[in-house]
Amino acid sequence: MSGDVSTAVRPTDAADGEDGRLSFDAVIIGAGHNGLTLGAYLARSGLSVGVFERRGEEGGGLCTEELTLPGFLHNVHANYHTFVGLAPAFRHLELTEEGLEYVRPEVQMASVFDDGQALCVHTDAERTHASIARISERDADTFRRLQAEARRYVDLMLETFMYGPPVGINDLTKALVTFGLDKRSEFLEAKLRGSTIAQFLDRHFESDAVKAHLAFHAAICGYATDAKGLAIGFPLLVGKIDNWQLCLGGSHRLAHTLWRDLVRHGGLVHVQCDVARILVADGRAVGIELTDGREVQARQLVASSIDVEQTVGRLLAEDPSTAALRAKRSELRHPAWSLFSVHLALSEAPHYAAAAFDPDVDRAWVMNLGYSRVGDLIADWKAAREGRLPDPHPNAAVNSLFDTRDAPPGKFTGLLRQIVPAKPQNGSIESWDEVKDEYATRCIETWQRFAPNIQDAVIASAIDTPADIERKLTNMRDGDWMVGEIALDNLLDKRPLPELANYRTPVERLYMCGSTQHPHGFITFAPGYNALQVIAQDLDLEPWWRWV
Amino acid sequence: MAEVFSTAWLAQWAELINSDESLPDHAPPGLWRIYLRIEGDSASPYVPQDESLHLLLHLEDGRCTKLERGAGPPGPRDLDFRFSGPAAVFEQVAAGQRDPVDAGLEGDIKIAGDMGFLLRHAELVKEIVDLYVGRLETDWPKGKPPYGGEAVSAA
Ligand SMILES: Cc1cc2nc3c(=O)[nH]c(=O)nc-3n(C[C@H](O)[C@H](O)[C@H](O)COP(=O)(O)OP(=O)(O)OC[C@H]3O[C@@H](n4cnc5c(N)ncnc54)[C@H](O)[C@@H]3O)c2cc1C
Repeated sequence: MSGDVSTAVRPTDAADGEDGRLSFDAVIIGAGHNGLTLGAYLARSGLSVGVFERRGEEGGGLCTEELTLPGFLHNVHANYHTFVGLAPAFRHLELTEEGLEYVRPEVQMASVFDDGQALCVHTDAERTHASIARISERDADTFRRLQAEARRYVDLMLETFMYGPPVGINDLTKALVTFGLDKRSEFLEAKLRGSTIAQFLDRHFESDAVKAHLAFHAAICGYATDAKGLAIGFPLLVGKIDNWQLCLGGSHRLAHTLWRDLVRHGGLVHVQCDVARILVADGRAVGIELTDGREVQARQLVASSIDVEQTVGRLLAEDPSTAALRAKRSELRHPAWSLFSVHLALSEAPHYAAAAFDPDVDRAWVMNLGYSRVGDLIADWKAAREGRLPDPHPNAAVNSLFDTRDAPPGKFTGLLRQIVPAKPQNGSIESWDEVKDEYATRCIETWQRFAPNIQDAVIASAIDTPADIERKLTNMRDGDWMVGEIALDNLLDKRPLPELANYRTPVERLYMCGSTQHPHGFITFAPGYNALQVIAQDLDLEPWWRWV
Repeated sequence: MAEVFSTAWLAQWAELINSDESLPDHAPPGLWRIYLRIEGDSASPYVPQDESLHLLLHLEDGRCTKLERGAGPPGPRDLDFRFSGPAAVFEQVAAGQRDPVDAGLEGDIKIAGDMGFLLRHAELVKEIVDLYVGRLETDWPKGKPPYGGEAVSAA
């Protein structure tokens, strides 16, 4: 990176447009981490950047609020950060040098099973091996080989699958064959593109409990256990299974750090600015209009980090060049399932009955409460897709075990999160308002079954349903927390539609840079980073971030 | 036979590429600029530790139009792919002792660039790599990998 660019602090030339209109080189719609990431890179490249955000603060899914009681900091959405240190943005934007701190709990994840047994994934692979071996020695050895293999190629896989333009699944499988990967690897093979994660697990593992734990881990990454083709992504997930990190002070700190970097390099985030229209002249994006009627000029580009429905259907409603895309709106893939969260203020940390089997479960971060067989997960996916409320098997996390700043002294924050239908009883998403209290009680009861002290420890609770997700983040329609289903035919060069997959749109200088794009949602920074590569090509920007 | 990484060795490699008649059939049209950064390590007697060799390979319509040592790394605009790693690994690959695909997969040789392009043109990549590994005759005057303590200290 050129030193000049990285250190330059420029006052923004925000108001020098014609007619006194706000004017920027780059206008970005939505201040989630993808919009902010793209903005920060562009600002470091010398462009004046304005990011326009509907809500009252930046961050999108990186949102930390005192939902229950003052002093209890709850990550409303993204809690688990799994790309820390892996995403190029950490290096290029020097995020951790800005005071951003993460903790990587030693006991990353644990499953507590119905029979009182438990299994832990540690940052120390040997300890993970020992934990799995208590359930199945053969599976412990298999997992060790799988993890070792996946770790060897995780960098290449990240570069190939995430931090670069999407590749086609056919090219990918052809290359697997050309390079003889089927023969070199015990786990990577071309036929994974036709396999579910459940099938992959059945092929390689013997114990129900071990398979359930691994399927659980993929599920909280948004990978359905029974979706054909998703096995192809499973080795990559395993390659970073021990990189689950907690953002100290709350996930919003990351958003704040990105914002600070943007501002330091001359950019601005305008909050409470609902974008109503993208202005197009002669087939080229030239600005935006806000719902209050104000117009903002974009001298070089507009990038949208929000959903396709809004971008094409609402913001470009009158634009003829995107009419064909509007006609394809029904082809946009959103899952029928979403996430239901119960945030808790606790007077004490959970003590698990399974600690008698393995005391480490009491200091584990991400907990699987009771999925004991892969079939349990498949039943939940099925229920969610059919609009039924599954018997809760929530994942649980107590961040205060690792971050004492997120609760008053001696107190704890807790999180329960369950896979649920976006629309219960196949009704409207609003029908969540009627069933949420009872379902939250059932989730807490499940926790109580495994941690008998928890019910008495609850001081206050706050519920976040799929309906609440959509109300807060309008781009996550129907509570679609991935902003586009994770399914083989909605990934790579097919996401979100083949016509939009390379971050460009039919409108010149209008780009898509959010989770609708390859690879998918999650705090990956990848859609913003990948859109940057395309923008850099089109604008002939010096790619200071490459090859560093 | 020419000494590994020498000008004559590079010329021999370029000649091999250009004598392969099937390459242009697999090659995408246009110019592709590949940069190999061969980083000195404590093992290799051919590249001093803390120094790097910068090799530039240009392929135009499947023909090698440039294969030479550069004074430094090319600018980010002047390359499409970068392969980088310790000299001893590149040398082991040239000596046929290390599988190049494994070296790439296992991250010993780091690959950067449009990975989609590499996957789409997997056959071309494999042919060029096979030439480097299988048919390039190399002289090892300072010792041949794998290096034991003696080969290193002799350097
Ligand atoms: C309940 C839940 C739990 C999750 N847990 C995790 C987790 O543990 N780990 C993880 O990595 N990910 C998690 N995620 C997913 C993660 O939050 C998203 O993948 C991520 O936020 C996507 O980032 P983004 O920048 O693409 O979009 P967003 O973060 O959604 O940002 C888009 C922004 O655009 C704004 N916007 C929308 N419409 C307009 C408009 N018309 N004008 C202006 N602004 C607009 C929105 O207000 C929002 O701020 C979770 C999500 C949810 C909902």
